[in-house]
Amino acid sequence: MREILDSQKGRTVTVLSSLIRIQERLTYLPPDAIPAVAEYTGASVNEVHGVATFYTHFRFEPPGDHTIELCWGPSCQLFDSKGLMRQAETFAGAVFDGYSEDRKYSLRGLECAGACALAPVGKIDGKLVGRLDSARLGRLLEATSENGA
Amino acid sequence: MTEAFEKLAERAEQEWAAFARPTERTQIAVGMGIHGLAAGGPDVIEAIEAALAKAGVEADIHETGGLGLDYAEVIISIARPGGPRVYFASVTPESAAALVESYVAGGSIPDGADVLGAIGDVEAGGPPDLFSREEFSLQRRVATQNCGVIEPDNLWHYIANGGYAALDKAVSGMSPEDVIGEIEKSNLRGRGGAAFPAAMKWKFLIGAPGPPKYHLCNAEEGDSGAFNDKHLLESDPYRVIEGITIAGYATKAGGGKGFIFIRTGWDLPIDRVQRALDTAYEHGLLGKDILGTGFDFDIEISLTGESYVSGEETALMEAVEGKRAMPRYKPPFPAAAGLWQKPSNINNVKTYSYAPSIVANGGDWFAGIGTERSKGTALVCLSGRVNRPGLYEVPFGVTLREVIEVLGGGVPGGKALKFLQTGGPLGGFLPASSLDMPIDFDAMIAAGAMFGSGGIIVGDETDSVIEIAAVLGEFNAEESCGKCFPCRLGTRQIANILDRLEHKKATRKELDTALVIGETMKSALCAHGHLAENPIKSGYRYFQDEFEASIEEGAAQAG
Repeated sequence: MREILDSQKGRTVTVLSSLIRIQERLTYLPPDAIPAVAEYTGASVNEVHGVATFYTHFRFEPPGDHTIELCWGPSCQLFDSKGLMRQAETFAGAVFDGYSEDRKYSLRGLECAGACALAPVGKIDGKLVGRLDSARLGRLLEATSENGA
Repeated sequence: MTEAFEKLAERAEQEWAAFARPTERTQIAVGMGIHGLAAGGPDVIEAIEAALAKAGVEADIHETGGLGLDYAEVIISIARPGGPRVYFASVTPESAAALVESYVAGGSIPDGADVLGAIGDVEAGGPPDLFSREEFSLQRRVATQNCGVIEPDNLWHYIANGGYAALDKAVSGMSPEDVIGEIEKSNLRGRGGAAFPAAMKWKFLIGAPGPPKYHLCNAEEGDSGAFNDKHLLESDPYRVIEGITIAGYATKAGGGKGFIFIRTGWDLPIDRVQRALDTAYEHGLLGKDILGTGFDFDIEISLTGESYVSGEETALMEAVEGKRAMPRYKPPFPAAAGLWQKPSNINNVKTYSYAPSIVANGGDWFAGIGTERSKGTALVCLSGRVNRPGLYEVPFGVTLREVIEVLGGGVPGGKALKFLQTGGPLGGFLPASSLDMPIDFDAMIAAGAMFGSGGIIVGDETDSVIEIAAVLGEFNAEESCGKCFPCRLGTRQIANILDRLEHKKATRKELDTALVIGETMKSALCAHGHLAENPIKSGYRYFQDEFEASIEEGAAQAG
């Protein structure tokens, strides 16, 4: 943990920058992250916990083998992102902002992926994809199950 | 001109010529802004590499940012030795391979290639001038001048296209007061949503004690439907960096620091800005003794987590300090006690990015563009039901209709336009009858919408205002930071009622409640609470029938 905290790129080290760095490296904030950041920055455990639970991208469990993210912003909604979200839920056996029971999939809603001109937009295992439709999403989802973990 | 800058400019000229007007090796550039990425840019690059190897042809492959014609991504450009730089649209891995085979290797454009146009020495009988296209007809590319043209993190490309001439001019021949004077003459208003005069803010800071004084460049673009901040950072990061540096000089913030505040996870702009910062330091454009003039200024990236309210100026300072992004009480204002209680100035990415052009061309030049009270250009992010969604930079005063019909190519499938949603989740809806409204900060606020950060989402006759209002209502509830209870509770109630309206379960009493809750939210500390009623309020104002129908249908079902 100390090595990760020392590896921060920015010159201004804070509670938030420390938490961001840990999640970048470990994909989530394990239980020892909070006390370690508190000690490193001189903040209280309460303060660190407050920051970690305020910003919605922090996770306290590792993500599933595959992460499916779909944008539910207004531009994407015009092109039925809700329908795509239901399709992903059925495929993965999980609900949005949750995990499938076997931890193979985590689903995450995006407020805006910033590529609104190519709506609807999603990210499959970190790869940004625009101009989604049901058939294309279906193929991308199938590909994740073929690729395994 | 400083001696240091003269040397940089010389080298820039050579580097740019090798890229834009190659004499030996073909130069291929792939549009890799966020839309290029989402359209499959990385796969296109891979296909080009494979096709070059197969054809046994040598060429250099570069990444550019976005041209703004996002609908046409993946866009690539090819400059053959001695020829113009030809842009191709809607390139797939397959068509990229065909382009390499026939055009790169043989000089003939393959059948079916979608040619956008050319820049450089455009040949008679060849592809026409790229910028003669209809999509550029009403545009005035100031902040986006280099976007999609240069390699974003290439300092030489930036300098060869006029970059850093303004900083050089400022630090070598202008006093800080002179620089602010030009910004004042330009009437530049903040582009983050509030449209506050930039020069006034900078003047607050110039008189404040320091060092340190801080400049905070707000790139926390959480607005759904807006992507122009990220577009500038990923397509032309040096312009933003130069703008912040000029602002640092103009406000006597020497020895202080600028922060570019951006959300973790936006890897494309973050990586490009970081590379640009590193290079600027390397060449004496940041750090100690900038351009040999004794002016010291630092800039670093400050990452924030996911939180829409962290884009509010005082919440932003809390986040840079590493705390929860909750707004502070004002006063004291940032210029008196900002980041770490030191004098600070906060502007949006777009605002800072105009500073180089204003200093280079003079404030009067900028004030000559736009309307009476909204000067300069607007960066419109057009999405939804239009044929050509993308990012268009137009002078203020161009009408919404011109943007949608001329630049955006109108609504697809011959359908009628029903609504516009502008200004992000705190903005509002406008009806089709408002299409002749000019893009203008004040005119749009008077109509109950706002220009805000520049997002315009188009809905057609098949789309439901309530459904989109419900999405925005949910966004505003999720993103209330929770500090002020009228906003924390009010946004949730509005969201719940919009959800019930969408599912035709809301009663008249609920609708009436939702329409007045906004009044109580005006007591919140920040604009999130003040404006979060806009989606339902403006939606109801212009599309009352749709709301009434939902209630009547619900009553009939319950009845």
